[in-house]
Amino acid sequence: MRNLAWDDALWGLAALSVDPSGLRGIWLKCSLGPVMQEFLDWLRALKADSLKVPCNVDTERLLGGLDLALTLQMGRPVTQKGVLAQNHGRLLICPMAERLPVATASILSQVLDSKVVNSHFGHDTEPALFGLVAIDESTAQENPIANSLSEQLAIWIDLSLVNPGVNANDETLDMLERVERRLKTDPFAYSQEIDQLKLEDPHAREICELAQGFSIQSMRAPLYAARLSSVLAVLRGSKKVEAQDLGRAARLVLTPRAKSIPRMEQETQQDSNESSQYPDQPLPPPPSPELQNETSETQKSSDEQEQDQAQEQEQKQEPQQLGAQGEEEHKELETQQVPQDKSKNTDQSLNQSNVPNPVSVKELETSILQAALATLPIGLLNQLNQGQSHSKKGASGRVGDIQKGAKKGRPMPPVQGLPQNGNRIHILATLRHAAPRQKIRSSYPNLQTTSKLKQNVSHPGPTVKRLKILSEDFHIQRFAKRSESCIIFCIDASGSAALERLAEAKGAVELLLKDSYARRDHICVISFRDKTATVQLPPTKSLVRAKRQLQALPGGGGTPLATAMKLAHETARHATNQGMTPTLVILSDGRANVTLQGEGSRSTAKAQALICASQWRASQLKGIWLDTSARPDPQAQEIASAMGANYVPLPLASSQRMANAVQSIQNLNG
Amino acid sequence: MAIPFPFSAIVGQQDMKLAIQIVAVDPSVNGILALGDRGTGKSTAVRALADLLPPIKVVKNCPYGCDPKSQTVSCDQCSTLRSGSGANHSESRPVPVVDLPLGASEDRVVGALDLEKALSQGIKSFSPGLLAKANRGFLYIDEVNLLEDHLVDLLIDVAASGENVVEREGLSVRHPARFVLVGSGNPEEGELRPQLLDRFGLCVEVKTPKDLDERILVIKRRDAFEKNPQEFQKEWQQANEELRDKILKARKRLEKVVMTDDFLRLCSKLCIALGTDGLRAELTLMRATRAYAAIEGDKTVDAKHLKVIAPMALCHRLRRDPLDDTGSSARVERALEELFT
Repeated sequence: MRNLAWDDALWGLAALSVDPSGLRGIWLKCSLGPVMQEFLDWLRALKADSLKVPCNVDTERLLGGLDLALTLQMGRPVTQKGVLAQNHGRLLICPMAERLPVATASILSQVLDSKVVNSHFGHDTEPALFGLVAIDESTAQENPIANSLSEQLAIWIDLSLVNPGVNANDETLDMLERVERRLKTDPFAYSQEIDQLKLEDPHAREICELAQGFSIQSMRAPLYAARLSSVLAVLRGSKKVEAQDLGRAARLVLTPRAKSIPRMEQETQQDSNESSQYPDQPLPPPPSPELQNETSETQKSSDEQEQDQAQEQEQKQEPQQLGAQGEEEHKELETQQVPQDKSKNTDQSLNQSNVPNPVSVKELETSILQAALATLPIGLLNQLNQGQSHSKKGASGRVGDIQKGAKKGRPMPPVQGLPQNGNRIHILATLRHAAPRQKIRSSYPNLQTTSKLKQNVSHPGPTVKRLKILSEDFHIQRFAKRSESCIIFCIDASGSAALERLAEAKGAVELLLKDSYARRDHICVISFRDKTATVQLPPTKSLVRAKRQLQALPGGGGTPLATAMKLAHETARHATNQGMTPTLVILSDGRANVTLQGEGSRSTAKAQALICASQWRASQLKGIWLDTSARPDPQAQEIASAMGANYVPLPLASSQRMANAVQSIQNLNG
Repeated sequence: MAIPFPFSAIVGQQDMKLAIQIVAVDPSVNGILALGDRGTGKSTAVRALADLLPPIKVVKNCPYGCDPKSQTVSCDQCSTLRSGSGANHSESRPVPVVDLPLGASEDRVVGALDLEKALSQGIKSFSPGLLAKANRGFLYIDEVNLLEDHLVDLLIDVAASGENVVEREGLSVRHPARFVLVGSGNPEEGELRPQLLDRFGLCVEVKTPKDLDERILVIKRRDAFEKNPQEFQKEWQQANEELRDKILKARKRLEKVVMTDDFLRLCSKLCIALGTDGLRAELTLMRATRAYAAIEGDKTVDAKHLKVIAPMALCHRLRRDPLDDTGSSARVERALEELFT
């Protein structure tokens, strides 16, 4: 299985190399390591001329514009072509793409989408037919690359599940060698063949059915899958798209975007089994390779594992032969394959039951569905079964220099820098810097040419004495902008915070939400009950979502206060990283009785809560504690003061009063 | 120049296509807001516009694309450009459809000091921005709900006045910037400020086709287009031209379409029933229904036009409780039903 994922990745890479303008790019999810290194080595072998784009690249370099330094030196306008327009048919590699500022990401996605660059100056547009390899090194807790950008990239590869030292299949290696040789002589060698391949009706139908089965809304995904399948066929040297191309295209394009999988039998049974094993997780936990091995070793001995891999190799040869054989045989083989496939992809609970047959999809599609799910790890499959999305929710890639590069707000002293990338020139400071250097500069030989040129231009005044300004003189304006605030609600949904109080708390949050919308605040909701704390709502401005999440909030169980505070702290740290100023609002009675380890112990739970509280205090972030119990408890007060929060006892408070309390404290401190 | 996807080859999306035709017939309807998920073809429809509309006549070399026929001189450039060469002072340009990227700097949008000229020639001059480029055309903002607040403020002002006033860096420039604002976005990712919402004449929801066959058709057409754009364009040229004729005819007819007082009363009644703020709702309703009647070739505007247009003209103007789940289009439909019973 690991093998297959790695093979897929390499086929995807080769496909992008030969068709960058059609497929537009790869979202490569992986962390720095040997696997990524090997992938990049292959990339360089295929496309030696690929170019690295750092994530802090400025707009001028991307889109093109005036080369300021050269312009000043030459004394005539020198324009530079942007990276995006320059690299026709090349690959751009963007490491740490998750750190791309919103502005850059949206420029990239716009250019990828429209395939033209509007240069910064002038009205000309230029074709931009590059391919982008966005390397996303984000960890599970961080936001991945911007949604708008990942939408534009056809191929989504997750290499975090591939073991280092994995070997590619012979067929893959052959193909890579072929492609490498051919691309060296002509980088556009394949484009004609790809364009000549016609999309056949049954294939279009299969792809669309699968996309619909996966609940993928965007029409780009099936389009890319169709395109990729033809590219893969061309890479194989075939004139016709075969089942294996469709399967691989589905694995690289559709499966990673899946929001659910087509309904299977035993769905309800499975769900009930798994829901306890795999609690509601907003993020897919990337299982480390060791962990994967361990789990599989519990199932089989290592010998069997090897055997398994060999089988896999066999299976991969099978579809090849299939092409030549008739449709009926194809189906026969496919059914033989099913049980083996399934035993690897799904866990034991599935093994015990019979082979699940997709019900809602037609027969023709089952093969492609099987192929599409072949590399999906167990954890994700379960998540999808529970109707959760593979990709993270609500991540909008709001990362980067929101505060630092503020273009408005309170003015700050000017600093040296070029007026590019949206920075405004500070003329006075620039002149002040240039003035004392005029005498020396008048002796510069190449600056003299400026005055010669000037004479050609009709300009008032007989002898114009012009300032000689070099790029080092430039100063730019800076502004300090107050960062957006983010209110983190930590709601006690335990049994001790009686149910009607929970309803009031929900009401208060809704009222605050309504108001925060007007002030453009972000809202984040964490709830805790029983043994765990969950992020119900990652920081968002969307009221619709917030409301929906709140309504579904269940109540009852113990009070894992420390767990909740720990989670709140982590969330706050991420919010800070994104340039927001978090405020924590805890709605609880403070009667902690579940420890971080999930055990019931009043004293330990309280001690842990106090430790978490002092950690919060150390972070110097604002906190508000709304005591929701009917009789205000000294314990809540103690924890609140330990975390340096404003303590507000609110016995019998209505939603409105809670909301007012939070607001008044916010205004007081803000 | 890249070939845009032909407008008439777009599958489904009746609302969006109708809204675009309406603003093409009568730009004073003032803008479309398309709400929906990514990859539903919003951008495709907007970009196809430029190809669909006939080129416009502009004063030659005018950076703002002023109309040579207009009596009043609206920009400082035109006055010199027009007086100069006499007869040969106009040229035709395709209707501008300008993409405003999310991260665009203020300089790029409103224009700024032309550094090139300032540095190399020592001349203080204005380098027009995207607003200038969009004059007499369309300004398209993808993900308009994620647009930064200061840009939103700016757009609200310009969209209302039709003029861009630049007072910065020692420049003092005003130039015409009349454009149809086209925004798109996904409301799940962030909401729009009511002031900006109000600037959009029509609001349509764009959804992925639910029907499998329709989806397959989308994929097939798009694939054919990408593999051979020239061929595909040729195939659809006929249909596109017919549509263009329809729009041009509708433009001519627009003046003659009769609006009875009874009909206007009906519009007002509907707006009162829904409690929309201001009179912009009625104005848009009036203009959009008139344009729709002109497209349909009808001589008078009546209730059947209202029924089609009312949801897209009104649903984003209802004062709403952000926590109320009932869809606003449902409320419009209900009000319509009550009105006609």
